[in-house]
Amino acid sequence: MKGIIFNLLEEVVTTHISEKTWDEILESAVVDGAYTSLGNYPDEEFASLLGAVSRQCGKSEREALKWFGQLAMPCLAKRYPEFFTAHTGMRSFLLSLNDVIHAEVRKLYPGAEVPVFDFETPVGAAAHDTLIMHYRSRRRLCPLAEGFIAGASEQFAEAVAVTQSSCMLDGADECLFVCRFEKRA
Amino acid sequence: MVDPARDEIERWRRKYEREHKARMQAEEIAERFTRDALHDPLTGLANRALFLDRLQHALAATGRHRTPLATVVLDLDGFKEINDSFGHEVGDELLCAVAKRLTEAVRSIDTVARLGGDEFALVIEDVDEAGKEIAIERVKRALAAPFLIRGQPRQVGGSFGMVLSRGNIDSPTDMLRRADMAMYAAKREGKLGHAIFETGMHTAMVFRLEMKSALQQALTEKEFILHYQPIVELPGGRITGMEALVRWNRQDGGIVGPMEFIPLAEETGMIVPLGWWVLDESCRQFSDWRFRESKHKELSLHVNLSPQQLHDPQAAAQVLDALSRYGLSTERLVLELTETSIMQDVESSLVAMEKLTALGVRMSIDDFGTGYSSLSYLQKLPVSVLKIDKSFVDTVAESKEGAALVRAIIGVGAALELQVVAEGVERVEQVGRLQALNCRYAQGYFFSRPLDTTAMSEYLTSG
Repeated sequence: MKGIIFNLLEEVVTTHISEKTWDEILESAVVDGAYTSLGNYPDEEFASLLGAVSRQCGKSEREALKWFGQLAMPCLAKRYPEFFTAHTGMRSFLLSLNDVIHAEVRKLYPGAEVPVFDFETPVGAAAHDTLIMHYRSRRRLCPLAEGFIAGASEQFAEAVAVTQSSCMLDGADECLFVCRFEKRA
Repeated sequence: MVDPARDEIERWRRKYEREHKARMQAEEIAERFTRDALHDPLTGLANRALFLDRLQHALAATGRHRTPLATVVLDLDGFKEINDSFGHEVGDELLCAVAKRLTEAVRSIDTVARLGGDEFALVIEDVDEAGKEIAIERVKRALAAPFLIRGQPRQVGGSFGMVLSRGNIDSPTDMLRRADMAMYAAKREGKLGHAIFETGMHTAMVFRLEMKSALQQALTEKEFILHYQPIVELPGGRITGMEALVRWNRQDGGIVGPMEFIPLAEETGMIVPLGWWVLDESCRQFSDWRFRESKHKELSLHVNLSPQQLHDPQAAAQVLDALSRYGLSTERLVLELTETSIMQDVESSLVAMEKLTALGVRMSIDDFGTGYSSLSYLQKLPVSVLKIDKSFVDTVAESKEGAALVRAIIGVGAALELQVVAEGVERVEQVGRLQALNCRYAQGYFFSRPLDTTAMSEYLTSG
């Protein structure tokens, strides 16, 4: 996994909890904690950090991952504003994930293994405000994706109701999210 | 007891350590990126970008210190065949082995690069005349020893071009282009050839490129024309046949002789369509003359055949097509091959020639005496006509040796029951001597220059 994810996790923990907690997390995960954004680190190291985060915060791992994703979004927007400013709303932002954002991520971080998102727009009345999102990733980090969506919704000041109808963590082949957008007044 | 201040300091120390470690990792990654961007991943040699950069620096230094600098561009021979027949892995191994030898052949301050494919390049700094010779020798030696391919030693040749700058060239791409030109010149020399860039090379190269494209156009625009030179009987000078000769009538004026464009046409493969056009057009014209007057019924038409045409799988079909299209019988046609072209690969020439003679067409050896054919091959080859090269005919009247050679060739021809034609006969003394030596046929300016269609028509009517 790319160092950038570890950097984001550190940033979220130190900003929203404390530097001391990050220290304790590193200690309890038994990792040395030196991450550079371009580096590659074992997936297990992230899993063990996530376990430590969940213990520290008293959240389940799913919840911890979603929490991280949501709070990481503003940090991403700060680092890579161009991914956000190109879009006027959530819908176009999400639709650009595969072709634009992940393509750019691969350029910035050669060798990055990014998840695949497929999108469907339902037919009929819901066509304009609903997006069905399929998520597939070997890492099965769908709660992170869900957290990212929640974070992006704050970024774009646009409410999104997300319901997940199937999940890889429950043995499905892919995760299915139904996103309903409501423009804030 | 926990000391909060110490605890805080300890945390900062650990944070500092982590950050320091992360920075080191980042530097290492950045270094690897730079290395990847500047080196060929297969051989570890400099890539084109780094090569041009080093060359740029070296050229600047040469400009300042006036110490000559050499650039070598090297291309392996037959690399594609090795890749195709043994697979890419073996090809890659070979490239690595070549890279290693080249690196060992030069000093550590010199740059060895892989520009792509099987093309390598060197920057050799500080080379005087002696240094230049040493560099050439070392590069040659690096390639001369066989390489182990699938455990078998195999000779892998290469050609290389060298260019020297004494501060007179300042652009690396210029330097590379000149070395490339020298390399192409070396390629024509054959295995392990090398050439050093000379000023005229550029002009020559541009000229060749222009000629090539003009030639291509000429073929589509039908700018080629045929002239015909009579072949006559001795004594008396009665016409028995004619040789079709191609000329290039350029749109921008002027007729270009075959010596100028045939080698180019052979190099580009255009000789094949051009050659078949010559056959077709000459058959058309010849048939027109032949059927006009019955006295021309026995004339034969001689047409030159390039080695590439001979080995064209369509050769027999092309010949039959041309003859039948104009109602000519096969025995009217004599196809001329130069002795040199036959001897390039005598066994396969023999097979290809037999396919044509099986049609009833006759074959002739052109420029006989210049191609080192042995008499045993001459006996095997299905030929009916020998044409004595002009260089022997030139001296037949003046020197004893010249006359002796011509007498010998005529003797061989007689023994093998071949028609012998003396080429390039220009003076009356030559005619006399050839008659005395029992040469039955001749061709040359003395009898007639090559004639355009109108002039040939007149020649036939008056003759």
